[in-house]
Amino acid sequence: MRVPLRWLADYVTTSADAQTVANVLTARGFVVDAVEIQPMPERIVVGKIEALQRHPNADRLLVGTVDVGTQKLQIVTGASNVAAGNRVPIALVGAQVYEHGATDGAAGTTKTIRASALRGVQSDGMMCSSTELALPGEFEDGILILDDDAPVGEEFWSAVRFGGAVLDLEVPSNRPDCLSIIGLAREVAAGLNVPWHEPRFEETLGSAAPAISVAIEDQSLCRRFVGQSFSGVKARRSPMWMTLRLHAAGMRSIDLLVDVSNYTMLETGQPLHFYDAAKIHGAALTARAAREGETVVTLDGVERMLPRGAPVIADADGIVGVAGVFGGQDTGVSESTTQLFLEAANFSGPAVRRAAVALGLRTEASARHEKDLPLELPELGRRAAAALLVAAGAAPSRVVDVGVRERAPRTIAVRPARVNSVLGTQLSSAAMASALKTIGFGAVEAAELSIAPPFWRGDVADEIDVVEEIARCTGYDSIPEQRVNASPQDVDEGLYDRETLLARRSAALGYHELVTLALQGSAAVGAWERSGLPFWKEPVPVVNPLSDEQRFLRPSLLPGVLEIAARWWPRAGGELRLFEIGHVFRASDAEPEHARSHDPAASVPLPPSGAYESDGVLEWPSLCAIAAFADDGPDEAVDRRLLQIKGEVETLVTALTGTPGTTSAHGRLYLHPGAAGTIEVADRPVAKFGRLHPRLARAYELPEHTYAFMLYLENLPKTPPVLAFRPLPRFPGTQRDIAVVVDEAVEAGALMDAIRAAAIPALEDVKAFDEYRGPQVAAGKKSIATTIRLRKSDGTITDEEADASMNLVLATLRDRFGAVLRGSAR
Amino acid sequence: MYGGRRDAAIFIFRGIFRGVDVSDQLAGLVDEARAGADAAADMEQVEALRTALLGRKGGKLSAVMASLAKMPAADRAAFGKAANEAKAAIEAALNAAQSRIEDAALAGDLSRRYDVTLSAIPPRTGSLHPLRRTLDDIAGFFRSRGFAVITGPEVETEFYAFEAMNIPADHPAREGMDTFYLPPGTLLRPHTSPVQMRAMQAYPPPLAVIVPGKAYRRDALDASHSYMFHQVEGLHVDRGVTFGHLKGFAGDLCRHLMGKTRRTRFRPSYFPFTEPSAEIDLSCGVCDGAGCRVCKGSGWLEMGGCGMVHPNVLKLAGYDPNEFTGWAWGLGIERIAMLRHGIDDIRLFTTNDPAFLEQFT
Repeated sequence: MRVPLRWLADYVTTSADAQTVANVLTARGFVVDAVEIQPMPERIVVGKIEALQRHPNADRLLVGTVDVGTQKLQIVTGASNVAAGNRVPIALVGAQVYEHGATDGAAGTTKTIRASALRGVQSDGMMCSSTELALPGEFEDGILILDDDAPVGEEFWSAVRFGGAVLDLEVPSNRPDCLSIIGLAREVAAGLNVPWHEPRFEETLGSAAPAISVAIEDQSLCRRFVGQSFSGVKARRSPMWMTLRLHAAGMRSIDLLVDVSNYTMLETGQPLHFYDAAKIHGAALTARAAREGETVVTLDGVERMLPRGAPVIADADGIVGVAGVFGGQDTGVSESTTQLFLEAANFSGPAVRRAAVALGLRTEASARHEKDLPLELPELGRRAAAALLVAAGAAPSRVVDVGVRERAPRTIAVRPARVNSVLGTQLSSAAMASALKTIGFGAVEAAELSIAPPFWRGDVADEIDVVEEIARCTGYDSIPEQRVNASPQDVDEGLYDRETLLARRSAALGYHELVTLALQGSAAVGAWERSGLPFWKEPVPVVNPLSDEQRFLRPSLLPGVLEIAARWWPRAGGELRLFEIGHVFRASDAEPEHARSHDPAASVPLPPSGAYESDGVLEWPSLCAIAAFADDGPDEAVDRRLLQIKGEVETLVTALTGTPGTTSAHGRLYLHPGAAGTIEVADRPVAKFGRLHPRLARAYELPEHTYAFMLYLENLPKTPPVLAFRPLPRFPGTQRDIAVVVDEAVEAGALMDAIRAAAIPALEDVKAFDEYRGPQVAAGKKSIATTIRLRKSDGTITDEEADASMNLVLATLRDRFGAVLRGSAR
Repeated sequence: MYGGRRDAAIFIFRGIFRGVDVSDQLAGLVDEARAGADAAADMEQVEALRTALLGRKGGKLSAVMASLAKMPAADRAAFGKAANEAKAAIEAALNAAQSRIEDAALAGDLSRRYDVTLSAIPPRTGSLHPLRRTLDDIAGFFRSRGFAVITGPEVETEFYAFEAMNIPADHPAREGMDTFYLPPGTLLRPHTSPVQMRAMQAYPPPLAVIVPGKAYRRDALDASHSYMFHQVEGLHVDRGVTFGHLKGFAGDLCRHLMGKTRRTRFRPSYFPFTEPSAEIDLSCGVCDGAGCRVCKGSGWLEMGGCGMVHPNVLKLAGYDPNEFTGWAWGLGIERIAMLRHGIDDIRLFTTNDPAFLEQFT
């Protein structure tokens, strides 16, 4: 809300400067974003043009005789919008005004007015335009024409009751009372500890009956309707002071009637609506719910279909306005209006809000009504507007007032000890009471405080609301900082620990961590389409995306990581490692195989696995990594990079499980069909890895040697195992390398498993490190090279013992796989 | 010189047995070794000399030793001793040459000068995202004070996102959240606060947790808005927890993250799920409160919202609001990282430009 300080000063008397007032408001919860200082050039007075003649030597200039109170000045002007009799701002000789054309007066350059001859005619001052005075808002071109009753000779700023600063501040949504000058003035007065002037609008009741009768049909939508008609009104220009205040508050001045309605709303917080009484059919208005299919043409000329049940005001012919939101065009005031009917009503906040949302119309009025305004406010708004209309020459009728006029008086019991225990203060109950009294609360001290909030504070309903008011009024600054450590507790921190451990280990392996946007759309799907591979089926759609890139929740981290990898690769220097940890999402009917193992109990507020299911959406944490290398194409039987990546995955798996797990070949749609595997620990899949499918690599312009791995976090332990110490080897061991020829279909893993299972004496470790296919072995066969380490725990192993073990190895492999020692005859 | 003593030994040996020519031969070999060793320019020459004199086969000393067999038994002991001494003298000469040559080589090596100001060859290290590093720092702060770190789901129900947070249907605050909705009845959490309720349902009081995680709001992307951002929710519920404690934690955290000279300001605000509610402001590090471009003239930077957990929220969680009080807050991790590192565009966190991430390795 934009608050001209001069307007505020109508209700609070203070000599505090703008920054002090801004600080007070900020400290009370109305954060001031900007303090705009209105420049106020000196030596500007109200002048009356007594005569105006054509300049003898220039067609476009006029020579005016201007009464400035103490004297009459001859002033030459080039403006064409002035006439004799006009009162205009006159810059006296010596005044500094702003250059024409400067849109922002405060930032513009100034010029000094001097007595001089303009083409031979003496000019002793200047008639000013709005921009020369840096006034806010738009005015008609030319000289600023003041009100006909502007006091001649008076200092300009005093005459227009304007100047000083404008505060641009935020009003929290629970404080509709402060969407008004009066409400903010109350806060400023309390904050500065100065009196505030209760608004006293003179009673302006006429004797005639109101032209329009009013009925409330649906009390749940409209709780009160205050109406009054005014005759003899004319839609003319508003007084300059009102125009300036509206402009400074960020509203355009339209004409007196519209302006009075807006001005009153800004001042009191009560939105009003003015009808042209002559256009109301049947001379009666009804507040009711919209019926099926009803429409109204609103003031902006748009015909709108009303949702059934929306709060409306109707006459005999139909709807004349969306209550609390927007008036109807047909019954609105216009230049031809002579009798207006004022509506100051109280509507249900939720009903107004729903209607505004449904119609896509958010107005200053609806923004106030939707916060549930007090029942007492319509009468204040009515009086304020009536005072302005009567001052402008209108004749009021009696008042029609239907509905509930005030809220039942209420008191809130407040325990002073409770206040102090929430705030950490040692306030006496007397101090609490006097703090509350500064903002109009009634307070009776007994064993407990009995607090009566004023009518405008509908937001204060419970003890805790009063606690906040006491804190606000005594000042958050005055509450001392206290220190304490948390009590011991038993909370499972595993999910965070697991994520942190994996992130750190991945970074240690040379991977850069990414954070990508969790909503995906055209870019991801497009890349998959280019590759010709199928994208994940039915990802969870977003109902109200802002763009095509937010169509669904990511079903996997892979598309996001690949997109970044594609961008990094050209600059990566031939090697790139990236990873991301985050949640992924699928519709639960498209539940992936590995996620079936988690606990789907929806009633568990924090499932320990970190996998969640909520109304058909599955969500679980995942880690995805990409490694790309600028190597030449794979021409060997062994893809060493693949094994390198496998080693990295095993390192991560081992970090949490204590074992590298068991690998088996396992195809994935997005991986090379012959270079993909799954790692299981205790029969649960914990990771998958492989070379990226060449089609996908091509679609993302990544090299052939691009690899990916993913961890199923929800299947991994959350904390690393406590490692048991193994005694260090006391005796030297030995190492034997052998290569055996087997059928091509035999996997090295099976070979190693067989050796491990065979109870070979002194077997310490076996590793299959190479594979060969080619002219040196028979067609359909391959050679697998292994390193076998042997060590005894009770003595140094002898050559004979080692030979015996190796013979057993060979025998095992021969029996199981028909393996033949490479280079041997058999 | 040791050589002098050995010369004397050979001289004595010459006088006491008759194999004068043999002892001359030994002395000759020693002389040859010394002359050769002094002249040797490199290790190859030293080794050649060693082979020529001491080689097992064809070495000159071996040839002399061969005459030992013909020598009378009485002389053998003396001759053997002399031969060993000659061998030791030869080896000493050769070793001295070796040391001389190696020292010279070392001296040459040590005299080399390398330009340490040439650019370093960077290691291929990985990196943690700046948001994680910021979070780690915050988590460390809270863990040292007895808080636990937990996480929760990003897809939420209306119950946890709103009702549980004291935001009933039709509450204007729902609209202010600009929430992404999913079918049917679920949504992307617009704040991390729902985990407050989940945590209180999962654990009995007292409870002290922080909850890092992603939150989503329908904001168009610009330098200061991202539809996906990270918050860290704080929650401390216990007997006797006060607004003063909230101020203490917030002040200490801000000073920990931003420097000891920074000041914090609490100003009233409104959130349905806390009361009293506050915004935490941090004094601007550029102008220290005087007002500048960074703080848009206010002298203060917004750090996040906080307040005392609303009794309705405690009640719904099954905590007795008359026995337990607590504070809660939600801080933006991006915001903190931006203020801390002077990052001026929130989009950098999700663009993942290497030039950006590499600054935080």
